[in-house]
Amino acid sequence: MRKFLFAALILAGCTHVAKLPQDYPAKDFTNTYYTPEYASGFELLSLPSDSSRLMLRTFAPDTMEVVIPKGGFKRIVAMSSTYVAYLQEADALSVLVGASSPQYLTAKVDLPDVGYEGAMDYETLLATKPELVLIYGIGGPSTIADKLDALSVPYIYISDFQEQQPLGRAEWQVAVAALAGRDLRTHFGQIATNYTPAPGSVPIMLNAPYGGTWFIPGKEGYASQFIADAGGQLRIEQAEGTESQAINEERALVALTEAKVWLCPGQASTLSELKQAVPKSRFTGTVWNQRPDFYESGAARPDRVLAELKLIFAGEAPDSLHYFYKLK
Amino acid sequence: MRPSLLFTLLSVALLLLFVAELCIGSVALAPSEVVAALAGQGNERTNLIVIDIRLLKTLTALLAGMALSISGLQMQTLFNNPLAGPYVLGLSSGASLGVALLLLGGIGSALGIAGAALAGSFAIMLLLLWLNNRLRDGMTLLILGIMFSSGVSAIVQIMQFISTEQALKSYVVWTMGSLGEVTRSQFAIMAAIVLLGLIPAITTVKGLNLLMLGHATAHSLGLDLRRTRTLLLGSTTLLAGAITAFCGPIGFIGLAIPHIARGLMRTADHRLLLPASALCGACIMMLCDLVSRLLALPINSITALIGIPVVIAILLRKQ
Repeated sequence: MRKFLFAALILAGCTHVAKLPQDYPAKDFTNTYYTPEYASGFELLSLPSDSSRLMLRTFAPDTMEVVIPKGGFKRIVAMSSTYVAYLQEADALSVLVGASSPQYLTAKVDLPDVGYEGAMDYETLLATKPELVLIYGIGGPSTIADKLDALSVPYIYISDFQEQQPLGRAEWQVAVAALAGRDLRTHFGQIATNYTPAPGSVPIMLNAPYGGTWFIPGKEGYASQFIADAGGQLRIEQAEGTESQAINEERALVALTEAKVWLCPGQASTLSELKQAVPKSRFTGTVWNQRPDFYESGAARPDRVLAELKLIFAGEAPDSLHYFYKLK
Repeated sequence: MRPSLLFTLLSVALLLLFVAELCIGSVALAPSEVVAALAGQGNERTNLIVIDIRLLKTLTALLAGMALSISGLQMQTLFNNPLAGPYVLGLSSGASLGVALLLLGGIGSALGIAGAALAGSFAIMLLLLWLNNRLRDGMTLLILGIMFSSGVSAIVQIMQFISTEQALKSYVVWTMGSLGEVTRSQFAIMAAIVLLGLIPAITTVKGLNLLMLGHATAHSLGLDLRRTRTLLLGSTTLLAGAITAFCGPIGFIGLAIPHIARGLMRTADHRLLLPASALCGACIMMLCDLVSRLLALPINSITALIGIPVVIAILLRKQ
């Protein structure tokens, strides 16, 4: 019985890596083709004899290697909206044959819905005949990875969300584009050049309470870095690192009285909705919420997001921007 | 209605639902294609869809429905409490703690989600079995089980509160339950554990009938209460623990199906109630899976939406 239970636990816990049909073994890819400057989760390697033949190696939640076929994959399924944005940057939406909840995508695509984690539609996924599925693993392997292995569907983790630097997250477009046979190194270099942090300390407040508690990202969190780079300063003491921390209502309300700009106040899209959500607020500045495309193309174009934030913090923004809108 | 006729009707319903599960899906397949795939003569894609997706999910639904219903029946009789279910003793909370430690705390990633859930359930079972050997009273065990459950839930809530939103999302997805993520090897493990749990479930059927008379009377009639409790605890942990580990916590089935079986069979004889609960559980679980598959919604929401009106109707008819 003890042996059986041990075997059961081991079997249940193993992470498998899907094998792709490939003309070169992964070990042949020894030359560094692209080492990210900002991202930490991937690298691109090439054959010593042919620098156009690439292999993508990703590091989270497990190290995975995918040998990219000549010309790139022609049938890709994306499980996250940011992957669609990266392919759009590469002008490679045509390789997408399926996506998770495509009806919510800002990109104009007409794709079969393969479901989402917890309610995957594996039949539709198989019907798309994917060459590669781009999945995400949060805090560990994805729950769909075992099933994809069992169905012999090749996949790779694209862990862009684990990058906390806006440019680090955006740099994943180089990796995703390479999977589709496109080269976005120069394009990303231009984005990095355009991403010019501005000095400043405009007092900012972020988020809205959930169950009476505010969650504020750590100093190195994704949103915090955008705010700092745009010349803003959160009016609340932040934790070190990337993790969000719970802030009690009193501290948050005091911070609100000092802030000039209030960003991303939860679900509120008008000032009256915000007043209902945070009735004790004495905030007198401007409130801005983000549009859905912030989570999609915003990941690929941090330079544009930063430019809009700079305008907002400088008080020079029109009421409606591409990624943000002013609450009225 | 005679029990034999009811069993026949339930078996026919089970068969029809089984066939429907194999024939209905996102990809339109002709019955002949399904049959060919079952015989291993379809093309590669059809074989994958029919065998590895539909058949596997159908068998998982069947197993989950049977196991959770039997587990619920055992707990309701053991504690003489109509509100008891497979998760009353904290098995679900134990599994949740295991998964929360994995996803929210980043501890035990080598186990995987199913392994972490199984380890959590078994840890609670070991604790309860240890307590069972020290307690005379089953009611105290029930209260302690509920206390453990609440305590563990509180810990999980704190972990949720302080975790990252991405990790929280993964955890919430697990709590929604899913029959479709189970692979062949996982199914084999799950089926083996459920079969192991069925052995004490069957051997304690007479004991369950005696427990209906009250624990004191059952004891005076020669029932070894401690042994019976141990067997029932072990059985329910294996049955519900295995399903929770691989499919997530699936609500309603374990609580409500025994009531549906009693309403249909109109008897307290567990020799009839046990197979009737198993059959009803399998049928309703497969029905829920069909609806969940067609609407692309999590199984947990469907089990509640389909099941609750059924139970209310039966209870009102009883009145």
